[in-house]
Amino acid sequence: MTSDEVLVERTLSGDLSAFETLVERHRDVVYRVARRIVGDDEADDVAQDAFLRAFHRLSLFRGESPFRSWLLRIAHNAALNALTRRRVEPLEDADAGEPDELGAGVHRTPAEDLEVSERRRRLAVKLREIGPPHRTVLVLRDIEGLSYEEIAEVMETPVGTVKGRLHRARRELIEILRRNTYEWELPE
Amino acid sequence: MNDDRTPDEELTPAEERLLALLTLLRAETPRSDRALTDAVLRTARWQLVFLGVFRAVGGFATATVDTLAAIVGIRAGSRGK
Repeated sequence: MTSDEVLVERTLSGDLSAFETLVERHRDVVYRVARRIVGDDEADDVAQDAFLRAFHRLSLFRGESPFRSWLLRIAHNAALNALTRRRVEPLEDADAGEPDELGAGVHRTPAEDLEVSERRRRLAVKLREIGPPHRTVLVLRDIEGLSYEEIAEVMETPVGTVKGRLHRARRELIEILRRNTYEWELPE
Repeated sequence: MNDDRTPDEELTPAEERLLALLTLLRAETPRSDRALTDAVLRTARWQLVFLGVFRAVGGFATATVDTLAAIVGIRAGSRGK
């Protein structure tokens, strides 16, 4: 498989198909992170914006950190800009709406599937109630599974700051869930 | 998921429970589709064309200004003699 760095070089020399490969390779993670930060409605726009920003700044990519970190940093900034543009961030009502599609390949009764699906939907809504910097670090670490070092690259902050933010983010989400009437089974 | 949890990262029972809850979101992997790539490339191509035209116009304007400046400079020089 051609490395990201080689694809970047090819793109810079005018090969747009190399950039197409980069987009195809990273679009899912960029989309997921954008979706977790800005929500379903704007995730596509933010992801597109991030890739286009990356395309025009590709000559600034030095290869000092992995391309994915560099790209996620751009996506993170694009998502924060989208939140800033949005004067009042609309929050879905966690107690309304239909449950999501069920995950495939998991053997549960229909009732259990419904419960898991509903819990997941409510949790996604509650996640968007925490402040953007905390939300980002929680998404990158506890959902996307990035290392502390990679998150530090993405957020342009020291690793110690990432760890501190993650701790506060978890506390914030726990408090939000505790205030919620839904039973999250969180011990004191 | 990377598990580079350091020994000093002691989790409370509530945090452990939260991480268990978040596995629900981790298990759900929303995917983008090919349309995203197509939209990005379509816009990138259009922007490249636009930038090319913009640079050409800018280059022409710069060349015109340089030429005019040179002419004015030559004339000012010949008057000075």
